[in-house]
Order: sequence, then structure tokens, then C-alpha cells
Amino acid sequence: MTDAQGPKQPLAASAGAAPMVEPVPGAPPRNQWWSVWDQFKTHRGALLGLGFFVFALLFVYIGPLVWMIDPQFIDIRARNSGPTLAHPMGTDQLGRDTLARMMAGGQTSIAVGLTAMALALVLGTLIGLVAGYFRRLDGILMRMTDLFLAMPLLPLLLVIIMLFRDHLRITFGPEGGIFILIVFVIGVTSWMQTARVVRGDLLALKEREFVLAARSIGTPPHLMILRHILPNVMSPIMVSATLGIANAIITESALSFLGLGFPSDFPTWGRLLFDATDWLQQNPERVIWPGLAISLTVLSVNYIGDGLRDAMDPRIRGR
Amino acid sequence: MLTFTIRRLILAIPTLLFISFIIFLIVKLSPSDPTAGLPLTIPPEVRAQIRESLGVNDPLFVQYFKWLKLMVWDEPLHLFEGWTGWNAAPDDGARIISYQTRSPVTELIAQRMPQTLWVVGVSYIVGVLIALPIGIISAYRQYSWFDQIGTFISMLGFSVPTFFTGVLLIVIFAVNLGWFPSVYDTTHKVTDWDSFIVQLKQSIMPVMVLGLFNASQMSRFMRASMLDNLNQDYVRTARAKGLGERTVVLVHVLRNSLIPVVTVIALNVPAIFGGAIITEQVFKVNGIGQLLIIAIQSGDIPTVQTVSFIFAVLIVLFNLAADVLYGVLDPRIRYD
Amino acid sequence: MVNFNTPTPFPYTAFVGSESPVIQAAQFAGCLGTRAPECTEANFGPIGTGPFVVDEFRPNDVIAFSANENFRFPDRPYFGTVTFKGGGDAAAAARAVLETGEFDYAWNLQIDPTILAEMEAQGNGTVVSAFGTSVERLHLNQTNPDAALGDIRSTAEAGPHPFLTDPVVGKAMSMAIDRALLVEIGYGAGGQPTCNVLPAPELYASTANDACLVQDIAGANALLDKAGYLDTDGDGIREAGGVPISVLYQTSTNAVRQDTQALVKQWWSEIGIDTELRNIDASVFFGGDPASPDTFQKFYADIEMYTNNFPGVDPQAYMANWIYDEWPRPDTQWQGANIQRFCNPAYDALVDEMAQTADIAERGRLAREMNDMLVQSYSIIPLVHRGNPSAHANSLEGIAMSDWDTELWNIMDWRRAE
Repeated sequence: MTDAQGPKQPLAASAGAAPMVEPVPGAPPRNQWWSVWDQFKTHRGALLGLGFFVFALLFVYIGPLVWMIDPQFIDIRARNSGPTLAHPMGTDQLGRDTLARMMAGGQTSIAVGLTAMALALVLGTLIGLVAGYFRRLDGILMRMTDLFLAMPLLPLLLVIIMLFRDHLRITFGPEGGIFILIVFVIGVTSWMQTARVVRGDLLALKEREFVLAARSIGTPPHLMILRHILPNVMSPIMVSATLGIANAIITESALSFLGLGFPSDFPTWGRLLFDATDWLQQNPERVIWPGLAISLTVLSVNYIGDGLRDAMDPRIRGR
Repeated sequence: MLTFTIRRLILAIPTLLFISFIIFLIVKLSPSDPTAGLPLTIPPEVRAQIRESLGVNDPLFVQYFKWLKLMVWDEPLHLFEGWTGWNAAPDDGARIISYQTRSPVTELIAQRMPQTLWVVGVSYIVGVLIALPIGIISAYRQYSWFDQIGTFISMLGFSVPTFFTGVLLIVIFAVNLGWFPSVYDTTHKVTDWDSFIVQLKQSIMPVMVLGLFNASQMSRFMRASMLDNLNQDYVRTARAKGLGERTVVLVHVLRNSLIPVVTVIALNVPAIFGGAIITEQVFKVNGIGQLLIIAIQSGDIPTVQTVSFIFAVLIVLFNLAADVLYGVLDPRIRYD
Repeated sequence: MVNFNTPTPFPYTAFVGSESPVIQAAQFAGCLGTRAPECTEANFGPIGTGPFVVDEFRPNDVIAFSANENFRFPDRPYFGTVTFKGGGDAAAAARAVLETGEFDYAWNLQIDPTILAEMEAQGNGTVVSAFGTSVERLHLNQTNPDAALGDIRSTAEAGPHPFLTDPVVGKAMSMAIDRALLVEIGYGAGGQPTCNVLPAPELYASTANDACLVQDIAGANALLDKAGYLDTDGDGIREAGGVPISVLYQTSTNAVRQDTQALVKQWWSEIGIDTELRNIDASVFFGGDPASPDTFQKFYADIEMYTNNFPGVDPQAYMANWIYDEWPRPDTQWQGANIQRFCNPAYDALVDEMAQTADIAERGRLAREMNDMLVQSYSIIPLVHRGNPSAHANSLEGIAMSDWDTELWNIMDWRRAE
């Protein structure tokens, strides 16, 4: 009904114009994204999530302009301090200010989380779509997925670092180079699940009537995928996105623990959480801050994803 | 479907050969060294002799084909001999020998199988059993308090890593309350009810940590997929036909929603064999995950290669199983 | 019967420590040469004369022992069985002894001393440590590690390091370090500040360098000012011949080492030296793979930190590490123990002299002289004389720690307190 299963007339139009807009005779042409936003606004969780996410961005990017302590500065006399006026979130075992480190760490963690997730998502979705849609490429692409799944991660990382770290460091500087390396490594090693899930969904989707109908009027493959198939696999992709951010933030901390990531004095949320775990009994608040930051960020992205998916689903929108 | 399965099984052989060679190349290229763990006081000549005796310096292809021959021929024969007692294996003693322990790799794996299956496997079943109902109810009652709490807990479960939850549980239940042991005893044997209770006590914490992590992930996919299907026309049709709500949700919707969930489950079953490196470390379970990580760190190529190969076989098989299951779940899916 | 192959001026190795285990000839008779890999059973259960025999061996997991019925003292050992458990990390091991009381003994507890002290304060167990010859030290690359030099960096062809070959820079770096604080933060009872590469036994320990025990940042700054290393462009970093003094400081991955790195970086920033930190997985760093750029022998960095020691009680072989021939270089597959590329013909002569000297007092003098020569070249900066902290349950008696042998050397005397 709302999809391309109706009579021929609206279908022909849908091939050219926005694919899933209900025909509203007489209404002025309106950008599709406005109605998406209208729908998004009604989703309370999504608004809250967006609000928190904006707050987190402000905290990590604007925060250091207000709270000017250097996150790497060691004040050895103030070590292992609980929350005080001078250090609202306390200090670590060397007397570095936790608030400043949370801000500096958030910049890296959010940037790594978002970009690595985006890379994995794009790779996974692309491979999943192509493999599911074009039967001839399915075999080879899925065997490649098997290969990546079976690869022992750690030796692979060691090899990548050995081959590329020095070149990247020279080209992009120590921090830029490592950022690219980490995002690449995480992205390239975590797309497989998305690809398999998208492909699985697509195999079923491909046999549905509206796809058949769209194909029978000669819709070219790229429009087929973009207009008819992609919107229908959005929800697993959104779930993968949420899980992907958490995964990227945690993996980054594991990498820097192995000496494959940022220098050890360079804070990130994952690393702060890892370092604080040993201090669970002595300074429990040290664990709470990064743990909370990671969880809430992931949660907010999850709700934003939920809202977006609902907003983009024409069957729900306008209801 | 049968021809498809057979064709895929035959195709799996070159795939696995290729995968095993790539893994071999990577492990070989990676800069870990079998003598890295030895004391610095051991002179370089002795180190060189150790490397020589391990065969590290043989040409790449020689090493690979040696391993391959042992893996696909000698080791299965030894396994067969172990099961039947029939003297089938060649007596020249050729086995895949670990660099670290100088003992057959398959024996190391066999030694670690019980605790890995028990802890990681059970946690996986627990995870699935928690995830499916939570996902279904969350989707059916979208945005109810149950859904909100479920979402919050699963996000927490996924974004708080196991290295933290594990230590947290140990501090609470082992140190402060003293209910459960913090160290997993791999030599413990279950013979009667009391020893079973001991086994239960020592595995409950790692199982819960891993189970929560697995459940978080799967319940999200379950929920999203259910939501997609609850709005479909066929649901309306089914209800219009007068089918009970229970039948509509648990038979019609659930079946159609299972495809992404089956994918995720099938993807992660091989991971049971691969173990859970961090959780194993935290609770000292010392299963296959720990075997693999120690082997990687000490450049023990035969062990890494063998474990990864078995892992690859499982991945290929379970992905095939998922593909077959798709066809069962949705008969419209065709592969030919 | 044990025979020495060559005349050995210092023969006290066999039977007197863990360095020269004796295996039974009959048991290993079929395991020589190419048959060695087949002897899993013999390897996993060697027959000896100790107080316990192996019941079960699971590599990297569990070893179960039971008392040796044929032990030379009929009333020992006191325990019927002993179980070793591997896996996990140091904090978990300490927790199992000091907090939950599941185990009686844990060794190699390299964790933050504050945490260890708080665990000990719960009263279940005691932390003990013994000091051997392990010294955590900084090596200052004497050759040029500039990445622009490509494959010849950190070799003789690369030429000398632009500023680290000047002892003044090394001396200032050493003066800026507060060794006592490093011990307090990272080692606790398991470390002592030291200024010597060769800290023990007493006969060989020099006292000539002890001035370094006191941190002196003002003095270090004055020293650099006087030597003409000035901050001319006002960015807080001194220049040497127009190039900023900026060093890449690498070590293996380990929580204590990363804390030490952070502290040292801060002190050096106070004397106008900029530091970039890097940590490398231990399996790569100590792996010695000639293809990897990250091994400690290749030393593609300005400064690196790790611990080394010598086994037994005689330092002759250890001090011979710093002769010119020991430089790691491409034609030896980067093997060699002279990590910082130290070169002094007078030192090489002392090494030869020691090899021909039998008198113990004279050997002591030579060792101290070599130690002083090394330390005062400031190509190596000793930081901490490391012990090995272990913890035992309070109910366990008879433990006598020794770093000259395995700490289990007298396990036959261990017993449960009444």
C-alpha cells in the first residue's frame, strides 16, 4: 500500500520523486526532512538523547576552555584525592585532575567512536547490500566476511601497526597518524556483523512483492537499493550503529593498553575506565565517571537512532 | 536446498585453505617472537638455537605445508585413535607441537575445552534465553516502562566492558560477601550433588558477566526486528482473520523477525569455542581464549594457527547453517 | 656426575641455584636431539630429588604436586599437596591471597603499592620481597635514531646522537628525576632508589654515584644553561645546535612503567626537555624479531626503559654487555646486549682484565670501576633496584625469601601455623 505495491500511476512518480511520501493532493511541496524532524520531535527519548549528546559534545569541546587544568599535569601531592573543590571529580594515582582528563578523553573517545562506527557501518552496509542483492557477488563477499571473522585480531593489529605506524606518523603527525590508524583498524575489523545482518534481511526482503513490482517496471539496481531496500533494513543498521560506538570506545582502550593506540599519558574514556578498575575498592568514584560517560553516550545514540528510525518510517510518520 | 548445502560444503574447502594460509601469513609476519618471554639473561646464540630447533627459520611454504599436512591428516588420525583405541595413527610421532610447551597443540585444546564450553557456552545459552523474551516484550510494548528499563540495562551491559563488570562482581560477591570464589578451579570434577553446587558457585559470576553482555546485544536486534514486523500488513491480516494475539505475535511475527537474530546467534556460536579472553582472565578460567592470547603473545605459531583454523571451520559451518535456516524461516528465500 | 667442559674460574653454579637444574639421565635418555619434542611426559613431569612430585601439569593453567615419599628428610615436607594456579593478573593474584584467602601464596605482584598496602591492611596476609640484581634503568641512545635516516638509524653509520652523547644532557636528565618518588608510586616495598647499574652483591656495589638519589631540578637547569643548551625561541624547550631537545621515550606496556613515564616526562619538561611517550607490547618489545621496528635492540627511539639483571652472584658476563662488539646491528640480526651503543676502549680493556682475574677483592674493584665508568657516561641512567614482591597468607610459616634462587627454595620447610 504505502510502498510500491499500488497501481501503476503513483509508482511511476515514486521512481522519480521521493519514494515513500503519501500522495497529498493540493499540499505545497515540502522537504521530506522537515516531516522527519517533525516526527523526531515527538519522540521524547530521542529528544532527551539528542540533548544529552549535545551536552556531552559541549562538555568535551567547550569544557576545556572553562576548566583550564592541563590533563597531563601531575600534582603528586594531590594524588588519589576524592572529589574536592580543586578537583571536582578527584584525581588519579599520579594526581592528575580527573575532570580535565574526562574532557580531554571525551574528545578522543567520541571522535574515535563516531568515525570508527561510521566506517564499520558504511563498509558493513555496503558489503551486506551488494552481497544480498547481486547473487553473483554473494559467494565471494561472504567468504571474505568469513575470512575477516576468522582472523585472529591481535596478530593482525601488530602487523598493521608495524607496517603503517611510521609512515602515518610522518605524514599526519603523531596524534593524527594514530587517530587514522585506530579508526581504520577498528572499522576494518568490526563491519562483519552488520554485513551479515543486512544481507540476511535483504535475502528475505528481495523476495517481497514490492521489490518484484519495482523491478518489473525497470527500476535500475542502484535506485532499487537506495529507494526500496535500504529504508527497509534501517533498523538493524541503527542497532549496529549503537553497538558499534560502544564497541569502538572500548576497543580503543584495549588497543592503547596493548601499546597500539595513543601514548599512555593521552587520556580516553575507555582508558580511564580501565586504569580505574584496579582502584575500584579505594576510589570507586574514579570508575563511575568514565563508566557513566560511556554508557550515557551510547544510550543517547541509541535513542537518537530509535527516533530517527521511527521518523524515517513512512508507516509511522504522520500517524 | 540440499544441492545448495552440498555445493557450499565443497566450496568451503578452498575457502578454508585460503583462510588458513592468510592467517598463517599474518601470524608469521607479526613481530611476536617465541623467545620473547625468556629471561633477558639468555644469550642470543642460545635464543638462535631455540628458534632453529622450533623450525621458525624454515621457509614459509615449508612451514605452512608441514602444518597443513599434520592438521588435515595426522591429527584427525590421532583423534580417531584416541576415540576407538584402534592403532591408526602413524607412529613417527609427528604432531602439531606448540612452541611454548613442546606438547601437542590438540592436547592443549582438549585440556581447555571443558571449562570453555561450560563457562562460555552456558553463558551464551543464558544470554539467548534472556535476550529473546526481553526483545519480544520490549518490542510488543514499545516505550512501556519494561522497554525503557530493558533498553537502559542492555545499553549498560554493552557499554560497560567485561573487564570492569567482572572485577566489580568479584569485589562484591567474593571479597565483601564471600559467597563465590574469585578463582575458577579447572581441576574440579563434578561427581555428586555437592560438587555440582561447587561447580555452580564458581561459574556463576563469569557466566553472568558474559551472559549479560551477550543478551544486551541480541535483545537489541530482536527488538528492532520485531518492531519492523509488527507494522506489516500480514500482521493486520492475521489479526483480521481472528487469530489470537499470542499466535499472531509468537508464531507469525516472531518467525519473520528471527532472520537478523539467527544471523547474530550463528555469528557468535564459534566465539564460544574461541572463548572470552577478558572474562577468562578476570576469573582465571584459563580456557581457549587464554590459550590463544598467550600463544599470540609468545609467537607460538602452531598453536595460534591451529586454534584459528578450528575457529575458521566453525565460522564457515555456522554461517552456512544460518543461510540454510533463512530458507526454513522464510521459504521465499532461494539460493539457486 | 657433572663435568665442566672448560676451566671455569667461577664454578659455583651447578647445584647451587635455580640456574642450573639437573635432570635425570635415565628419564630423558630417549629425548635427545630430534626426539626432544616427543617427550611431553618427561618434560611435564621431570623426576628429581625435591620435596614434591608433579601429579598433573596443565600448561599456563594448573600444576598439581604431592609430597615426595622418597624425600631425603623423612619428616618433610609438611604439606601433602601443593597446587599452582596460573592465569589472571597480578592484582587478582594479590586479591586471592590477601582479600579472599583462597590461596596461600602469590608471587610477582607488580601492582600499585597503595593498592597492595590496602589489601595487606585487611590482615589476611603479608607482603614480602627479596632483592637480587634487577635494576630498572633508562638507556640513552648514543647513535642517531632519526627516522629520516631509514635503515641505518640507530647504527654506527647513522653517526652519534645529536645531543644525548653529551654527558651533560644525560646528567641533567638524571638529576631531574626523583627516584624516591618513583619507588613510592610504583614499587613500594618492592624497590629501592639506586644510582648503580650493578647494585648487588655488596662487594660489587659502588657508592661513588649516590648523589643522584636527591632530585635537583634547579641544579639540572643550571647545568644545561652553563653548557649552552638554551631556550632561544621561548617555547619552553631548550635547543641543541638549533634543534629542540625533544626525545621519544619508549618502554614495554605495564601500568607501573607508564606511570613512571608520565612522571619522568613532567620532570623533564621542567628542565626544558620535551618528551613523547610510547609503550610497546612486551611480546614485541622483548621479542627481538629483526623485522619489527619496535624491539628494544633496534632502539628506534631516543630513550628506552626496562629492567635487566644477571643470574647467580657473579657479574662478569653482565658487565661484558657494554663492550663495543655487543652493539646490536644489522649484520648480527640486531642481537647484542650493548643496547645504548656505549663505546669506550678503556671499558673494553677492563672487561678483558676481569676475565683473567681470579682474586675476589680485585674482581670487586674492577666491577665497581666499570659500573662507575658506565654510570658517569650518562648513557645509562639507573632508576630503581627492584625486588620481587610476593604475598603469603598469615597462616603460612617458614618462608625465607631469596632473589638469588627461586623463592620456593625452602618449600620443604613451609608449614601451617598452629
